[in-house]
Amino acid sequence: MAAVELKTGNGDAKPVGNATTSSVNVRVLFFARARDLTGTADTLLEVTSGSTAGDCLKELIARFPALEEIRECMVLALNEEYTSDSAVVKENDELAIIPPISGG
Amino acid sequence: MAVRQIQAICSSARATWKIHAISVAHRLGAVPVGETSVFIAVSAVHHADALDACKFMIDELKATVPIWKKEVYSNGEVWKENPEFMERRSMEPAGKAVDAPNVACRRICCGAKSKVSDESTACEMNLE
Repeated sequence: MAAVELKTGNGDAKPVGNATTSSVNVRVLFFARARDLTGTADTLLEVTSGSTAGDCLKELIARFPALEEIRECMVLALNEEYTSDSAVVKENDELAIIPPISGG
Repeated sequence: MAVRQIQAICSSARATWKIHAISVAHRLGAVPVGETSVFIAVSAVHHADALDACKFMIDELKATVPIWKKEVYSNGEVWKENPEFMERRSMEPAGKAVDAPNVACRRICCGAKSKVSDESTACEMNLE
């Protein structure tokens, strides 16, 4: 979170508090092995505005450590499209945790 | 998302080959051993276009469509993993850059969670 510095008359700079930050709510969906590991089909995540899909994943692994098992082989989808870790999530976005697929 | 992805694959096929009609179907739920799980039909004036488009579509489906299959055995169950997906994992998904790709991804991720000593009994399909 950003800190705002206020310079006083005598040149001292001290932080006066945090700049206003908002959070965004993201719905997370778990499939297949991810669902087994977390024990749930979905969850709600609240992250700082400007967070990325990768930030969300870090938060999810903190909450569900078992997900570490598939971290290297999973991919992410944001609003039903494959996405990279650096994609920024917005309010009401839907993030899907996609373990290795096996259709066909 | 699976339907969207299949539609995208159809569009890609049309952009590459001169084809007339496409039909794709995928089973969901329990699929007994020996039964068909996926069906792709392509028609075209020239058979080479139809065959090439068909091959492209099944390869793409196995690499990108979010459908999962869990094989259920009498002594356990295991989520299958398509090699096509694992290979594609290190490439750009949907034109977007992959951050820190793990090129040397293990062949099996979720892995065989149970030993198999006799024939499988059924397959369960899950659709995203």
